[in-house]
Amino acid sequence: MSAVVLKVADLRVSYRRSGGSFLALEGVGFELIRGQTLAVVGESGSGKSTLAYACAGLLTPEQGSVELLGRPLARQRAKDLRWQAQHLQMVFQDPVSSLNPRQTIAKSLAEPLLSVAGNARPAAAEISKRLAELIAQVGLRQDIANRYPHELSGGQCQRVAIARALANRPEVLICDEPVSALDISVQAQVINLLLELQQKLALSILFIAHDLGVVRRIADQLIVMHQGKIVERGPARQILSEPQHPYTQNLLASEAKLDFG
Amino acid sequence: MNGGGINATVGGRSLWQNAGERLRRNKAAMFSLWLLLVFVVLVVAGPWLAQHDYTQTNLSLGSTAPSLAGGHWFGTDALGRDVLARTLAGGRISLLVGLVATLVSLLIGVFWGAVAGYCGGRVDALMMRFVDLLYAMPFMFFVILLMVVFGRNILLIFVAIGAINWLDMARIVRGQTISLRHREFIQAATLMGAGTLTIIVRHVIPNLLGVVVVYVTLTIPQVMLVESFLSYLGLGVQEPFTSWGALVNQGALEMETAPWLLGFPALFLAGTLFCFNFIGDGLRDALDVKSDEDGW
Repeated sequence: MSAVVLKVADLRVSYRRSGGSFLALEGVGFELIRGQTLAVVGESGSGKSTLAYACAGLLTPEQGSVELLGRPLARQRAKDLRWQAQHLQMVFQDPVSSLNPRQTIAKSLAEPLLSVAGNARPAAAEISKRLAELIAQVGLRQDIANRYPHELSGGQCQRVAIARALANRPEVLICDEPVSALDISVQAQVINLLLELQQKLALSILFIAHDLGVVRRIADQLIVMHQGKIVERGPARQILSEPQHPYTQNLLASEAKLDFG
Repeated sequence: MNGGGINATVGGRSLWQNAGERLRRNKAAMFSLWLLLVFVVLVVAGPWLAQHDYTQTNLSLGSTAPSLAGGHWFGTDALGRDVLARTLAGGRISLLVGLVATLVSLLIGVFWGAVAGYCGGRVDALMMRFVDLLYAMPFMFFVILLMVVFGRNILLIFVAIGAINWLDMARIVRGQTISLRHREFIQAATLMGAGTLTIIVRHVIPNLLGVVVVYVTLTIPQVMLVESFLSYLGLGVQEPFTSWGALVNQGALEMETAPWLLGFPALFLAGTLFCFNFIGDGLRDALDVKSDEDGW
């Protein structure tokens, strides 16, 4: 069986700006292997978040293709949307605004279960059982279910967002800088949680980051992006120890400076 | 405040509950709320409270001044009708117009604005150009035309005012929706396979309600004023029905000889308008996230 779960080829996305158009991605392509973590690093504006959104189908590329489990992404019909929802999910950068502020945590978590089921509404008991499982899985206390997002810390919200993303047991998880809005100590906890869940659920993760420390901890494969293009790719360990491209060397050097800074 | 504390509650406190608490601390708004409640109770219970029927004329008692002993606490008008009973009856129509017209504008405006804002692109452009088109129509001309074609009808006033007011509502809601559309929880919902309608109903509208509620409390008095204005022009409610606007209109004619005819209805009208404005102000402060000392 083919080990490639997400295949991106020749992606091109540009944004219209007042002074013409701005090329956010050009000629980007990669393959995400089952069970692995592919990290994408680059400075702000390098197009890495755009890449995440394009892979999730949240924006349509002008050119290129995204294949999920061998099927091109199509977000036209409700059936396709539901299919995609079961196989690919995303965790966003801002944990607090990833949750609807007017809904309790239980409601937010139940949503993926209900929307994938379509008309065949699962029984209430079944849902609450799965909710309890999900909450336990991300290491939260059960009484969080009746709370609202504004009553939770950023780290707790991000755990809820991860639980929600995993509710339908997707194969692919896209993480768009999931820890950059969190405190350093909480960052480590959330990263450890992701690693643990990846092991347990055989998740394939596309991990967008700008923090090389986080990448070092989690990535198998690494892509370095600069101004919408991939400048270097390969096994994470190799790139981080022997960067070839001057931009990557620069990134690593600036990290070192910060560490001693 | 311990709402955000870890072991304060197990139940969880919604943003509405927090806002309610802030509103309760706002004295002007709470006073207005109670006063408005008194007005509403008086107006609704009017027929049972007033000793006289508001349509009953008594020419021998024409234009008597208010007196407790005479039984006409607010006096009578030129036809000997009890002003208290008429004020309460007029209030029923005024408040009803305010509520119904606002409700009409609320339903159309919120849905229209949310759909336009959420769908964006060509749908948005088309829907909002339609709004612009209606905006360009002279409102009074529109109302007068309706009256001429369909005859004077209280239902028509509701519809006419509501049909104009939803335009503002649609614009406000659209603006809010556009700012919500790119929030992560909406994106997450689309990734979960939720349909457009589900997202609008479950995620967009509940998050707009704060703005909408404030706008509603400010629209009700505005609508009541429009109704008064229409009545003043003689296009509003017709005899035997009356409204505060119509009463003020009639009272203004006899202001010098019988000031109570103007004074009492005007007092009720102005009082109600003040109350709504204070409540709207209070709600705006209460729902404003930035004034939350709890933090998020």
